[in-house]
Amino acid sequence: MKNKSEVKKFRISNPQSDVLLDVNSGFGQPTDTIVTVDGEKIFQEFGAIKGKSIGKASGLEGKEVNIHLMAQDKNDNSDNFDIVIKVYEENDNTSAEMEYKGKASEEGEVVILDFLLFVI
Amino acid sequence: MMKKILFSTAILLSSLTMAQTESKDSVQEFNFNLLETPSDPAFIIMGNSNTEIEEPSDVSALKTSILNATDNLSEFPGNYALSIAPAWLIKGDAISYDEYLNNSKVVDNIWQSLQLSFGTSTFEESSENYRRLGGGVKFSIYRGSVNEGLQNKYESYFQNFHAGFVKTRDSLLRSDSLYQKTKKQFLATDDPVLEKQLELKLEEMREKVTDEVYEMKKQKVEELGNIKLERTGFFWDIAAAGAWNFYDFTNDIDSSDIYRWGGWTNFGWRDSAAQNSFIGMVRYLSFTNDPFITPTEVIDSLDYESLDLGLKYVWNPIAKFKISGEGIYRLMLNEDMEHTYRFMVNVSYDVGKNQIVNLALGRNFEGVYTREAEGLIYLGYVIGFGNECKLKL
Repeated sequence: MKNKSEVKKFRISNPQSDVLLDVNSGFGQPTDTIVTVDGEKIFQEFGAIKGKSIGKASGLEGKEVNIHLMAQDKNDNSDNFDIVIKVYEENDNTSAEMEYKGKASEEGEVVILDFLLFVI
Repeated sequence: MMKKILFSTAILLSSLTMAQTESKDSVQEFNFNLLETPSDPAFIIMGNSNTEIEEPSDVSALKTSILNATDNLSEFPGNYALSIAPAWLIKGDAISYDEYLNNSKVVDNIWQSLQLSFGTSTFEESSENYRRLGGGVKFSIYRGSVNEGLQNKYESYFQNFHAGFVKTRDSLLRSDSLYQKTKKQFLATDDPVLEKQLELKLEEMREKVTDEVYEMKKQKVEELGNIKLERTGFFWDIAAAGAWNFYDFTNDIDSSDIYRWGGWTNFGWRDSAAQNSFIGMVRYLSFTNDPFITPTEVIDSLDYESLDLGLKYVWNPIAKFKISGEGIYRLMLNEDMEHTYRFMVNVSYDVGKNQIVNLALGRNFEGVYTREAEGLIYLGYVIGFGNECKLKL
């Protein structure tokens, strides 16, 4: 198992904008993403995510947005991972990104990423 | 009837011993699990593959193998195969899980399955300078689909496991007083230096808890790993290859001629349990300056063409064991040559990480190698140097 955590302060610039999420995973590896706000699950989605709203910036202010991601080495072409999690305001003024590049050391190995943003 | 023993059991036993003493680092550096007996187009056209009808499979970004065609333990292997899949080697980071599973976009199928293979071998035991080089290309029009029910089962299991994992980790973090205190300090500070220090401390604490939760639940990951997303249903592959003979490889690169070239298509069906595969093949081959031996005369150099029609059945009841039978009827396209056929039964067993033992029994085409149809027995040991290794080739 490979495990990486990142903690950041996410400073919003426009309280009216949506906070959006992108999740990209290369090399055909499956990913599952769970988004929690102050520990409450907002959504869970399998595979790539593009521009999915976590909520209005004003509603997230003062809260913890946690992107939990799990990926597994699951295809015969490659045992590499290239995962990017990006959280951004709709107008892209503020963004935070977490990247993971690596390769499984054994077949079926999982990668667990934990991206915690304190919205201020 | 001649028996052709290509690999001795001594090699096998020696290699098994060698593999057992591999260092931990070398195992981590290479992924040996994708090892297959070489059946890439380059090796087939060179006559070095013990199967002539390839099975459908996902390609490896990079795969190398040595086919050790010597019974002398001190001799360095003379046969090598290399295959690369450009899509995965160059642009693998852009291929998403959905694109990988999708079988309906023919362009994606072709690009993701495109495989270039290269091989080299000696063709005269007396001299390393008699060297044959081969190159081939292969791609899939249709590569089969992952069973939808199986995919849903995997994704659902994965999501349940992940949700449980997150719940447990969050619960442990909420009850960790040191973590909560550090979090408050992190939120309160405006000092960038202190903020960075606390950020790192929080990350370290969260990673430690993740490790602990994983230890509690890792059995479930093994169960997840056991769900194989194998492709089944209809598949259709196209391949082409050529091989050249070099008669003085190290001193005179120009002393060469083309050996064989050709193109073929494989198509078939694999059942939903991925245990039975039925494959058909149509292949055109051109033989140039090929030695051909008939019952009455030896022809050192003959140009001829053939159209091969083949069938193959593969039974793969468990991941480590495979048995297959293939038959090929060769229609000679030259009027004065008789048609011939070949059949082969092939058994392979994965004896451990990076090692496959392969036994093949059968009958070869008449005239191509010997005066009469040659009986074939191959006892093979194949060792691979992995997929996407660190290019220490």
